[in-house]
Amino acid sequence: MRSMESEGDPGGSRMPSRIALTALLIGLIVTAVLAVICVNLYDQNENRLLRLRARELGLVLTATVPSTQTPLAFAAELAETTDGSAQKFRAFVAPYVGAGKQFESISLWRVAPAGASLTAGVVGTTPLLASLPAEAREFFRRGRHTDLLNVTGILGTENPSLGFSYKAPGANPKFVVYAEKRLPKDRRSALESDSAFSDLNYALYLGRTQNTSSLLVTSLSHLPATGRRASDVEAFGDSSLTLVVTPRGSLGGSFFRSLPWIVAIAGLLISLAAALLTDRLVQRRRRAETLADALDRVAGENQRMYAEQRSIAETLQHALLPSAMPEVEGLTISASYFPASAGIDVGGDWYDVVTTGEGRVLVVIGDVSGHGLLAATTMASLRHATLAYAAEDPDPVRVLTKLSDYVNQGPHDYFATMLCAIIDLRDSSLTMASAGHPPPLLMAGGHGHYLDVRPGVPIGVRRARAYTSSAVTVAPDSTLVAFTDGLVERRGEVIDAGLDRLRILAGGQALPVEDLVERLASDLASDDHHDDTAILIVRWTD
Amino acid sequence: MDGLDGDSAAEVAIATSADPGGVPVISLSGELDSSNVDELQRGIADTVGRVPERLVFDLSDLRFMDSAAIAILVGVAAKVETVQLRNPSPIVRRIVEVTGLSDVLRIEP
Repeated sequence: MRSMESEGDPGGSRMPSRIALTALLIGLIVTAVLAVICVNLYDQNENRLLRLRARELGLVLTATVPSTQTPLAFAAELAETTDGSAQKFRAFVAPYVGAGKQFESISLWRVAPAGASLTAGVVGTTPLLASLPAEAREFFRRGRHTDLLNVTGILGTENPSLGFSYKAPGANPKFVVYAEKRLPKDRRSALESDSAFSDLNYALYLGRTQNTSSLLVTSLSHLPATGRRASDVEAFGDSSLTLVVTPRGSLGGSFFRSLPWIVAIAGLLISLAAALLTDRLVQRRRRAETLADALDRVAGENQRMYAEQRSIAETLQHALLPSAMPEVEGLTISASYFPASAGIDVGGDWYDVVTTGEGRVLVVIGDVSGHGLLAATTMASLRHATLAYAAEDPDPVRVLTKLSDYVNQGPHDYFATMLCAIIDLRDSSLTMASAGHPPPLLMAGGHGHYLDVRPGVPIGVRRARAYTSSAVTVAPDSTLVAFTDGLVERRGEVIDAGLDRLRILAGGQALPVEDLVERLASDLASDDHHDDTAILIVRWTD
Repeated sequence: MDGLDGDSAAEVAIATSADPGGVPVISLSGELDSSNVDELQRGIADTVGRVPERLVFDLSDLRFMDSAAIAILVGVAAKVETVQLRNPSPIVRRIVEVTGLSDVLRIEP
């Protein structure tokens, strides 16, 4: 048997199949691409949402400008019309000032091209700006010439504040209303959780730059803001506000934030499952192919070995049997051996035809019990012993007796049936002796009968009685058919049935002896015979 | 083939007893041919190994026996003084006659 090194190892540790690895790789690549696309889409979406939120928040801040500006505008009008009546001024602005109110202080300032001075119209704490004359001068110089809300940051002080001033419309105002709004000391403001903007952190700067010095208020603990952020600049009076926002979570919702991970994990799992499935299928197919191959090979091997052994057996058998029948004038002779239709055993059937001089021919056919090499070698030794004894004296009884004595003198566990016949062409006689062998068939004129030969015990069996011979005179054109029991013995029937079958079949034929041998074998021994068969036919010719 | 499947092995049952005279009796039933003669060989080895003077094969229920099985009985006959075949079927009876073994395997009716 060939080794099976090419079959791989179906169990134990093995490499996954290449196609499975490819499937896994493709799955992972697709997963990675999808995940990256998801991340990008998420990023873009978040950025877009954040910009929208920043803009919204900016608009909300802008919307607070009128609420800051309006009370101041009315107070300025009032001051102009009442020529700076401190009493009326205070009465008007008082509702806007104080703890929990809009402003920390509101004060009325008299302005002139030279500068500004605080009047008695002060509500709330003393304006911080009053202690900062340089800043105040600059601030009010600007304030006198703008119709917008004038904004300043007083940020470097202990109480950081925003300052707003507003004047009544007109080119040369006499008064400017000034309000201060206190900022948280650390400029940090906790977010209101119910606010519309609770999903954002923010930093609000005065002006267009994001300097720490211009920071108004923030919900961030660290500045400047890092990560995803958006900014918006809104006009705020004559100044502007810069808003920076960062998302506190996912603006698009947690599902969209998780989507890349969901895609990645699901993709990974699907890829692995697909790879495993592919691998399983590939392995299964490979195993089935391997198995089919192995079965094919074993079957082929068996067939070959069977044919080989059968051929060896047949070759051996034919080597042990005479290769050709002798040419004898007045006789045509044909013999053949047919192995059992099934199995590879050699058998123990044999035949011999030898001329012994003086117009006599010895015909031998025999059958060693059993099968196999032992039967075949026993047959060979019996055959040669027979030839040796026949050379001494071809008388059938004496040949069988000597052979029987020879076999019985030593231990043996076989027996052989054997028919020994002498054809004497001078007087057309046929003299036979049988050692347990089926009688031969003699056919003349289209009719056959079995010759009456009293069988002695087979060779190898203790004799109680001597072998006896019987003789017949043979008519011209007679045909003698000798055979072994394989030709007539069938399971489940009396041997006579087989003998009758042979007699009837042979009687109806007018074939040359070679063809008759084949016909008998093909008709009687070919279909499902378990025993080997030898057939020997002798025909008397003129 | 008379309803018999030629490829199937023949089946035989072997039972050993003794007749009133103490002679061992081996009863064979079924069929015996070259496919199962080894079974016969093993089945009778103990009884034959004691080398009785007489041995009876009861073949009442044996339908068929070919020359390979006869060879086993002949082998027994080589060791045992007298081997008797009790009530063999015509098939077996004829095989014994044709093979000239009537003196060796004595047929009882």
